[in-house]
Amino acid sequence: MNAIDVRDVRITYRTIRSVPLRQLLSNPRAKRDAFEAVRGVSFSVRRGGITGLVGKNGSGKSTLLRAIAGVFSPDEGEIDLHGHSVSLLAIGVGFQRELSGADNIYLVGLLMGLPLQEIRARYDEIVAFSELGDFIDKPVSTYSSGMYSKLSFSISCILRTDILLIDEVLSVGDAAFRQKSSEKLRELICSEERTVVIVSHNSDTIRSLCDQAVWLHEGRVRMSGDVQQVMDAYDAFTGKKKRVADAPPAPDAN
Amino acid sequence: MIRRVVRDLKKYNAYCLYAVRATLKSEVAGAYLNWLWWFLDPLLFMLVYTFIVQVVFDKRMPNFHIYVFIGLNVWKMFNGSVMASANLIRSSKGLLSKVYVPKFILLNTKIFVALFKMSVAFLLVFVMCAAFSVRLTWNLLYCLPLFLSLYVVTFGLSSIVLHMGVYFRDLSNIMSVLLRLVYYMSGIFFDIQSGVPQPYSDILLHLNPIAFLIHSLRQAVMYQSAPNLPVLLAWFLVGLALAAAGIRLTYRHENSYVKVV
Repeated sequence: MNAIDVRDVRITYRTIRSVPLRQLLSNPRAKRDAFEAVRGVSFSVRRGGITGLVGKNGSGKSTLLRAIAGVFSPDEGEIDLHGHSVSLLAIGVGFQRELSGADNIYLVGLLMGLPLQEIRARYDEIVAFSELGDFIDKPVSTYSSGMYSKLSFSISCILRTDILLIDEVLSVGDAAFRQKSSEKLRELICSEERTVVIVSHNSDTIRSLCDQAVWLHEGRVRMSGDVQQVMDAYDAFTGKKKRVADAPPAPDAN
Repeated sequence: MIRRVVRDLKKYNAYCLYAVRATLKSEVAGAYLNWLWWFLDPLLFMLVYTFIVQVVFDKRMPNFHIYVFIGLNVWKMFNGSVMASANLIRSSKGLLSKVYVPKFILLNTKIFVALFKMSVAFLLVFVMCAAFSVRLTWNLLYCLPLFLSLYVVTFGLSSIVLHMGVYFRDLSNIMSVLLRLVYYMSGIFFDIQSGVPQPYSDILLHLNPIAFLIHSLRQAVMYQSAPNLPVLLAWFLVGLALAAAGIRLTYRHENSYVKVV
């Protein structure tokens, strides 16, 4: 059974940037060019499956991930999560900076669609895992960036959703926390019920964790299927480019 | 659309309530006098206006301080909500780029916070009425439909401002000028009925919802009389229509909000 079905999804960024009024008055018909970040992508993830999304910067990975998380809906096509709850584990789960860490735990949980009792039951575990101690009652705006990402990581790991979307955050915090978090993440990712989509540049991470990979190139699926095959092709593609970039400069001919 | 609104309201009800509580809590947590500020702030402004009008301009009116206190409180709630909505999407970017929240739910939490603070301050009105022996009658019950209309009108206007604020960065500058104009036309510290010549006073009192609501609240609390019910109903319905239009706008365009800000 599939947990995520992405069918022919297209997402366009129209550059209707927010404009100052002066610009609008002087140039009311400013060209509204559209940029299509995702151009007809389809793939499925089975329940409990772990899928890696790879591709170079600007290939549409993060846009697609945000669409799966429901931040915006696709302009065309369809994303079906079959009623599963979903959370996007990116740096910062969406904190309200003026509120305390404790309040943010509840608010994030409620936005994930969890009942208050369940959040309350897991609250202590989250605080303990985040290692924030007394800071949990201070406003998030007073946190250091390390504390910020630790809390965010702890929330998304411990408040369980059916689908976990991970955006390049396999390592957060100091060395000790990094080890702890990557162990925790592995444990989460490998649990049978959870469906996971990981976006990463690191092909070793993808190879070791995922059972399926999707390679996006300029908004289209270049290749998808078995993780080793896709990653071999992807590594060959990026490796080749790297060798060109790393090539020693031509000797000066004087 | 109505079904979607009801579903969203139900789904995000717990979030909204928790966010209101947390915001109220955080606002008083850092201050020395805590929640006392919810009383102190309007009270001090009341003193300022009473001093200016009664002493400097030498205009005498019985119980002017209660009169101006009611006006200031309603204005603070309305003004705060509309100003916040102009920047709401931009200021909650961190949240909105990570998770989906219906935009009118965010607006609702802002307005509920303002409404709560206003209600707390309104308790002082009753204390002052008792202290200055203003007779309270059953007309006081008209406060409830008046507050409800105030909420609906504020929400309706704010939701439209919220939508426009996403696309026009200078909207908050324009809004602060516009709101200042409305402020002087709402009779916060003067009586429109006796201070503005006809027919302008009637026009203001009927066509400016804030002037009408403030005037009616004063009527109900201080002068033991009922509001103009047809006008009240009309503004309630206009508020509902504005709210429906605003929610419709945000539903239709919210997809691009995150991409724009």
